[in-house]
Amino acid sequence: MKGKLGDTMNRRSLTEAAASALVVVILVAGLSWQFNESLKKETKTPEVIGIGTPTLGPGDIKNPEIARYYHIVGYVEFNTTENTSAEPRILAVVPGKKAEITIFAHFVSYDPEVKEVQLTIDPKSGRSLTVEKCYVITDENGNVIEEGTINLNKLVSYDVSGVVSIPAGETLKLTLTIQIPTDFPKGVNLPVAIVGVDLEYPQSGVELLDNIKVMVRA
Amino acid sequence: MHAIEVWGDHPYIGAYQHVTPGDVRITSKVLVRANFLQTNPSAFGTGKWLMALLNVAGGHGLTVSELIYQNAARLDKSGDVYWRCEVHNMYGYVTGNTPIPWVGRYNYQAFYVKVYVSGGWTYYKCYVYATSNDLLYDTPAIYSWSYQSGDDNLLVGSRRHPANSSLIIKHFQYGPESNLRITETSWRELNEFGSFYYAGNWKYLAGYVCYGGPNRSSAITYNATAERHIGYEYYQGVNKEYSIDDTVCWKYTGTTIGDNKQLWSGAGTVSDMVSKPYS
Repeated sequence: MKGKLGDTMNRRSLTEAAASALVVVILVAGLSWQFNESLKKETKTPEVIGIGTPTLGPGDIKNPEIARYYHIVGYVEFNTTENTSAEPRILAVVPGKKAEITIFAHFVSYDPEVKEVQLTIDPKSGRSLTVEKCYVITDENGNVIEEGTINLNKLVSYDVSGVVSIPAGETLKLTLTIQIPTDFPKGVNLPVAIVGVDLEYPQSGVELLDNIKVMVRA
Repeated sequence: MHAIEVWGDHPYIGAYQHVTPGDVRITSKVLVRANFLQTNPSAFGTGKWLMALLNVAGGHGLTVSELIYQNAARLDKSGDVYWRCEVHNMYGYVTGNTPIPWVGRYNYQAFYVKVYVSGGWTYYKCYVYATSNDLLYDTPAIYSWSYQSGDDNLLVGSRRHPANSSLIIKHFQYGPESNLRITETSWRELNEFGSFYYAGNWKYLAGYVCYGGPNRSSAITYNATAERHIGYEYYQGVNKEYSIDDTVCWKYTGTTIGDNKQLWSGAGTVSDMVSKPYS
């Protein structure tokens, strides 16, 4: 019995030892597999993600959900009362005189923290939008006898200058004045736009929608 | 996040210029001329617009800066054309104080959109030729805007993404984009003289089709883990009416031109009747 028991115990010990060895082997194999997998992960080619780039139109900018997605916090829309027809309004001007256009600047904010927009108005600063019109003067045979460029920014002033504020949801009435030079060429259409208007606050994130469809012509 | 469910498809199809992936050129200026003379915008669906869009990647030498410059003339259903400039980095839209002025009508002769880099600033211009006399006498209206980018140059040509060689980055491309597909009329958009300033001349390379959208055919710049492509979808139903060296007339026909199809094989120097946009 003792011997049998001893044999049994010996067999049990051997079995337990074999089982333990097997566990160790499995553990080592498992750890080795995990180590290999982690190595594989470290050396795996990173996935290249693709990011689309839609170009934003006025419908996008005027849609708060879309605009916020692109970190646009609002917009200022510039309109005149006259530009309701399809073709641009031609404003007849006299060389040496001034021409005035009334403009309404309306601010829409998408961010409750942005309670107003501040605009810097300085057409001659060279910042923001500039507009030029090239022209030629021809003789009766179509030969060019004079050519030049009119810079709208140099002719424009507003009834306000420096930094102006527009509270969210409100409209600022502006008068844009163009000093027509005495040598302003006849028959040339000079397009008018909101030149020299730049953001002061917030520093970015506000779009300037310029719907001024006016041309001056002597 | 894919935002198509929120605001439409933003379909885009473009022409890109290259010789072979890896042949990247440094340039300071790129431009393309567009018109919509054979399009009836009043037939567009409500709220839809068609854009002639130039896209170019910024760089520091041959290395991408990860900035993208977009310069576009946008035709609305009303027949009005507005000028639009945008700057994007790898993960966002970084401008937001760009003026968006009215610049003309659908029947104007030509809109040249141009981007150039100088002294760490990126300059945008739009040359508008309203009439044939404006073209004859080279008398455009010129709209200008600038952005302090810090870039040294622009890039043209193509290369493989270092982490995914199947992804071809196309640094200079241009073509039509809309907010939603315009299927109501056989619109046309003419893109001519797409070119870059190189070795003292305005040059063009062979032109091929790229698709906007998730297949990434319009990838334009990249970093180690991402690429930025133009548009959200390819412009299904757009084909070419014709193409010759440096020129393609896109047309909505209902059948789509193949991705990567060659539009023209030639390379050379642009020859245009006007000079001011090339100054």
